[in-house]
Amino acid sequence: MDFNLSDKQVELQSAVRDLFSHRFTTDNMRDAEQSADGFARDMWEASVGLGLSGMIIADEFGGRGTALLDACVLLEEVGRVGATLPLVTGAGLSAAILQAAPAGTHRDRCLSDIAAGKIMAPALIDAEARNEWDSVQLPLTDDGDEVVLSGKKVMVPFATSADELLVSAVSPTGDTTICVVDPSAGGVTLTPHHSGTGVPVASVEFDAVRVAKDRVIVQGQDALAALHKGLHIGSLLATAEAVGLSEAIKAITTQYVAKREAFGQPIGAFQAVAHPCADMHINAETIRLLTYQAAWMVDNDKDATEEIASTKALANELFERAANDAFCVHGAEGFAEACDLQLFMRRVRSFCQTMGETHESLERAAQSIGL
Amino acid sequence: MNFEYPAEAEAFRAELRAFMKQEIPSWWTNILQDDERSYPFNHEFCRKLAAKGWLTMAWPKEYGGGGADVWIQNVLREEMWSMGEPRGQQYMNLNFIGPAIMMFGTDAQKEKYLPSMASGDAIWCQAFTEPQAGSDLANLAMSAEDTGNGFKLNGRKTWVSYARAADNCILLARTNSDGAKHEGISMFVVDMKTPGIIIKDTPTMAGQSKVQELVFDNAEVPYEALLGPKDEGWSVAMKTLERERVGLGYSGRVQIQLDQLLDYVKDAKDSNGRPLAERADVRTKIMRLRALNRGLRLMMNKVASNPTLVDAGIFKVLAGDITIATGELAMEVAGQRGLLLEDDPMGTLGDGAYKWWVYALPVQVAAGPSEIQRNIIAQRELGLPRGK
Repeated sequence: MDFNLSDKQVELQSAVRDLFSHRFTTDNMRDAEQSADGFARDMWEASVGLGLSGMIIADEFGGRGTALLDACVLLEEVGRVGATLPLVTGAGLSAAILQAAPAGTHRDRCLSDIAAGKIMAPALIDAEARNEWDSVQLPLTDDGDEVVLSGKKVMVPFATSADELLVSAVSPTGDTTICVVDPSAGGVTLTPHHSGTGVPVASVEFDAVRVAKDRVIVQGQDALAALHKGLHIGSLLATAEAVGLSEAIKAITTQYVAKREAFGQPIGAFQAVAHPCADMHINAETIRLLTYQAAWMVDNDKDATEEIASTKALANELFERAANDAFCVHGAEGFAEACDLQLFMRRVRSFCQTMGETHESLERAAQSIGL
Repeated sequence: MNFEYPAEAEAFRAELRAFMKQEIPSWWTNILQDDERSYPFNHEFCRKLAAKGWLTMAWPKEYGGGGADVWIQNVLREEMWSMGEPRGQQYMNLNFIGPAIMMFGTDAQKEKYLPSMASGDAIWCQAFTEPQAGSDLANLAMSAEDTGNGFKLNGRKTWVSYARAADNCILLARTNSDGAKHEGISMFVVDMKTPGIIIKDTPTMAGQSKVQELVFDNAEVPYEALLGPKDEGWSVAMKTLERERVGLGYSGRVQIQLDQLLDYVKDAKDSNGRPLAERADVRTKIMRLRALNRGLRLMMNKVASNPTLVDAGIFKVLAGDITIATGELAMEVAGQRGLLLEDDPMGTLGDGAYKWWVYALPVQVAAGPSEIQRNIIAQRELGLPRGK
């Protein structure tokens, strides 16, 4: 065993850390949340420049290569500064689904586009469903050279800024279908959701939207497999980013309790305050190791279904706890908009609910070991 | 022992519910709601309660109250909180500011302030916390200098609720800097129109909620503003705060939320098409919280019938834990759509799981955070030594 990052990984990590720590502060985080796009365009462009948009895409499509461990190292840095960008969702989940689908002209072009910085928003949650893992319900019908989509997807991340939508649908014969839809196509209506978390999401309505057949990426069992493989990878990438969010919460909190005085001493000297802070460290270190291990397993062609799913569930639980402990030791200050903690707490809240809820992740993990 | 409310109290509950059903508009959800209609509604609602004799029914008759027993008071508190406390800011007058004036005020102060509270006309705010004095309240720095004509106030007060609507303010300031920190503090009742009081909003993670900061810049108040003995404000404040904690009816609100959760999980299905209500983890979590919330409600009744700092501490710790656990469970069962705000048509669970969670957060730290309550329990009840 070797717990050290390679020289190349350290180099990548420093490059991303330098970029973000110099150019992205918590004030930028607030501005980004209020902006029309709901995220920092300039940081997205800078991330693309560093190759983050191709972080899991094979080099033949202009990506950085498919090493998930590298991607996890990079995403942790993105999470650490709270940069809400279409990385885990567009460059992560969407790319992972496409990569898990059989090669094809349009699929290959989409991967190249994502690596080059195009935003492909995953539109996977049906209006009637709870999450991405639910069976697909959006109806798709065949009409000559085209397919026709009618229905509604919700909670689509970065939809209003997307260049393309990656849509899951189902044919009258029950075949799961994945296709790529231009959000400016006739019949597509985007409605931004009012979300509390600072991650831009929208609902997408399809009113008899016609999509050329060459934009259908994959159908049937292969489509279902690609969807699940992609969600699996997306779940891991989300966890890596959340390790960074949790590191930020730890840093904000330890700085606060070391400085804030009550009863004649820094409150961090009280065990009731110090211990939850120590727990934040224990949790972040544990989840980071589990995340790295799971990524390493995938990179080395080992089955990591249990590892990824159960790590996501554990991270949901431990990071929720850490965020709440951080809030409690801040006292009322933590509730103030001016306190940076709330920015990261709301991002962690989003992480806990998306790309693998606790119960369902544990259920998947249990099934993977034959339970 | 007897765990039933007296029949009169239950009869009153029925009458009160019917009244509230009629008087509370559908847009009203809770006391922290940021809506311009809130203040006028709260004010009007209190006047209507007063007209029925229900606003100060817990006060002694000599101060315009109804002299009701603790059970009637508890019913009132539970029902009000279960509807998001439609009395708004005035619950503070009734629960602890009015009683503080009864306990420590001069006859002139009682005459000046209590009738307008009893009629539902007066709005008060409470300014104790300062930037460097939260849990460690005795560390407060705001000065009240004796000018020969009265006192001159200088300093900052933070986390003041309803300051913009308030007519008067109850506050703590330092009248003497010699001696120990908790000595030399005095309590004041201050007219909010006093020149030299500047009000600044404190935006919170719940949005532009009704919390403010007060800056006192040479604000001069008369000697009559002193409430209770000069330099002995600490014990006045402790008596007042004991009543503040008792006045918080969290269990009523949690009960409503758990009922809504139950309805939700019977309908909502998970990825396997199975109702969430059939899932063991959902069932056990809801049942666990129902049990804890029954405990919270019993503790509220126990504290109300015989207030002690230790029981108030138990109540407050439980309230924080249960409220946040309910918010987190709501998030878990609502899934992704739990992240949406209440005005999103795709949102779930009444006024939204996200809002339950955000508004649960401050319950853990308001009116004395759980860490401080645990210290009180450890030292006063268990006799454990005080640390440094």
